Amino acid sequence: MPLLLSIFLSCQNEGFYFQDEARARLEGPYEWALGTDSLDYSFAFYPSSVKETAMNMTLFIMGEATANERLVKIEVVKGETTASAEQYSCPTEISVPANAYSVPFTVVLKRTSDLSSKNVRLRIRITDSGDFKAGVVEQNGFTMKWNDTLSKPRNWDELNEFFGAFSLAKFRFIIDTLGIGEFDTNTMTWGQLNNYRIVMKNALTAYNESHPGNPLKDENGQLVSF
Amino acid sequence: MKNIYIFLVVFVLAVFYSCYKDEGNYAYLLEEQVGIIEIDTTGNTDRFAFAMTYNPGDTIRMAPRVKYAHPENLKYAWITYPHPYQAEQIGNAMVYPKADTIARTLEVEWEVTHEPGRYNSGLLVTDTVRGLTAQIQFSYFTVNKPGARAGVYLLSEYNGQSDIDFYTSQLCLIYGGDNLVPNYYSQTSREGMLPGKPLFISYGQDYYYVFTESGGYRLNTAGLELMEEWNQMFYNAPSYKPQALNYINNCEFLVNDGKLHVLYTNKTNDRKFSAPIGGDYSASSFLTDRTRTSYGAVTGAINSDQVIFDEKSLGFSPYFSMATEIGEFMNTDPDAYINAKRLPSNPLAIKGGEGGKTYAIVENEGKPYLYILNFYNVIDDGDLSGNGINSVIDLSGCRDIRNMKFFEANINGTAFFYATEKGVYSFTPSSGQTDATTIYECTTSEEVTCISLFAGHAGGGFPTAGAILWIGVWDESSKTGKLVEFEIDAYSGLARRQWGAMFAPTHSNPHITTGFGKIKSIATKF
Repeated sequence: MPLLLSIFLSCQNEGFYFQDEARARLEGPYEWALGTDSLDYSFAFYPSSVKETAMNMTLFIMGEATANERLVKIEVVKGETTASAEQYSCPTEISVPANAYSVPFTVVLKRTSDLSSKNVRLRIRITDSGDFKAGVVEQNGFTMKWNDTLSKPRNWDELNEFFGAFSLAKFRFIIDTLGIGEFDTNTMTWGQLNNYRIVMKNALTAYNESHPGNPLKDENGQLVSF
Repeated sequence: MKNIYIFLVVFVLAVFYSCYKDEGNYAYLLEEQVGIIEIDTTGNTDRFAFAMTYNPGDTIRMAPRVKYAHPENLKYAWITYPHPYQAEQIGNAMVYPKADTIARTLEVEWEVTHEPGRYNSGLLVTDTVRGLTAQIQFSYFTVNKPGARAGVYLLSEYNGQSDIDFYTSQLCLIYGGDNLVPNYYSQTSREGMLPGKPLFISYGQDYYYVFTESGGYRLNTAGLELMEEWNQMFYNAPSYKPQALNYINNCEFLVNDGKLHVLYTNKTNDRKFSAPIGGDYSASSFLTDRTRTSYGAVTGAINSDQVIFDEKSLGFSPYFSMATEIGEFMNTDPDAYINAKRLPSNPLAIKGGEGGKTYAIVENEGKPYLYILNFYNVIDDGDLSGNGINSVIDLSGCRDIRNMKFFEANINGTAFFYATEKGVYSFTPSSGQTDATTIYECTTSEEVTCISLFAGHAGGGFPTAGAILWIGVWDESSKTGKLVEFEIDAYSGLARRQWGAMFAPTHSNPHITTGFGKIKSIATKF
């Protein structure tokens, strides 16, 4: 008899903690975060006209959905954040509708001029809202790092034939004109790259004609040429 | 009594039967007594007829010999079947396709109508009385895809739409005979005609380019199948205003809306033309077909891939290999006969001429002149005149030259040809003549719609390259088109029968072929 009782007691289902309290967790956009709790982003390879980008985040609840709307609170972790308030926008509260298990929301990263020479970071995390507490440690917060630092592509030697000698000003002009910043010689044909070269030559001519006496120069004061 | 009558009836019948002539029936004879059926092609010049390559519409002829004791009882069946001969799945069964019977006579003369591909063939001979059979099989023959056919492709108008007629002539030795297939494109592609009236047709590296008023099309040589339309031919398609296209120096050059576009075929490409080559220019519809040579090349010669005429500056400009901009020739020497960088006016016509030179018909102070320039295998020393003191020829005596609609010259001779709507004329600067020679005059209801010289620019076509002038003529009263083919002397520009007696003995000069649409442009393929 005691043996039977002990067997029953050992089989008693122990409740997991999230069944007792509603909790929430965060996931970042997979194409940038790749399932991790952080992402890195650079504005450098996008045309200058791009001033901000939206990161599509997802809030997941842990536990059962309810028939009433609830609230999740998000805070910026000041000790782990170097971005200024002008460099991002992030909601501080997220409404979880009735019967919902997840809610999408957006964090906007902004392109400011100082980013051309430095990285900034933003860390957000879930705080207790009364309706929800933070969930699993690995996903109760999310970190975003971004910059606008242009650098010489590693395959520029292969691009020399089409774009000539590298300079940051030239590369920025290429990106702004073509709208792309990556040129893969393994997937792009000679014809396509040559087409880019012709387009850039025409664009440079048009630029210099529209800036008489002030042709495009690079960071070293040299005339940009293709 | 009754028995007597029965006996008499039987007797009479027996008499009749005994008088019946026994013609003999060899069906019961042994093989050694009848012999076997022997099929023999030894010594026949046509014995390889079923092992060759044909185009749809060609005729296969073979006349084997059969040796047998009773040829009157034989029946014949020529059959073809796919090569390699493989079973196909039909339902749950693997079935060998049935053979086609193409003839039932001993001698076969069969017009090729099979789809492109390879076919085995054979002759079955059967004795209809004894059932004895014999057969002979041949190696496979090949039916070409339509677009691969060497010949003349004529872009013609049919009721406001465009189609390609196909033509060959005995006079073009390389084509091997006379042939006409109207509506070749629409029949072959089964896509119907191309929308819009024709503009021009050209042959690139390995494609046909067809431009109509409605759109541009790249067709392959396999079956004249559509590869790309206009918008797909570019990384960024410009507005549609095609002027000219040719293929030289491993590059397809296209002039559209006054700008040059390039597609280097010896580099990896996406079959797309480039953005417009840079520069402040407006290209005319001229593209040269000769810029440099590897045989007897002059050291330091102009090494451009193409030469255009800029209607803005009224001058010729080079395009150097893989450049991003149109280039410039050297400043013209003041003593040069012609200033290639600045002509007196926009030419009425420009074409490649004798020996790679460039002929331009130019008006100067109200008078027409032939300007002969040379950019081919010469050094740019500031004088690109092509014929020294005779680089500028007065054409005032040339009838109606200011009203010309079409112009042709060719590398094979000094003569050029021009046409108004009502006539075709020739002139040569090498004879000293001062007026043009009339080659063809239209009737009241006719108009000239196109002229072209066989292999005048592309090279090839020996020995009649440059010696055949085609004139497209449209008869408005009968609503029919015809091709007037002249054998001409490339130097004198006169109609002259030189090769015709040998290659085209059945042709007169001119040789006229009817049955076309309104011919607007001609491209030849070898």
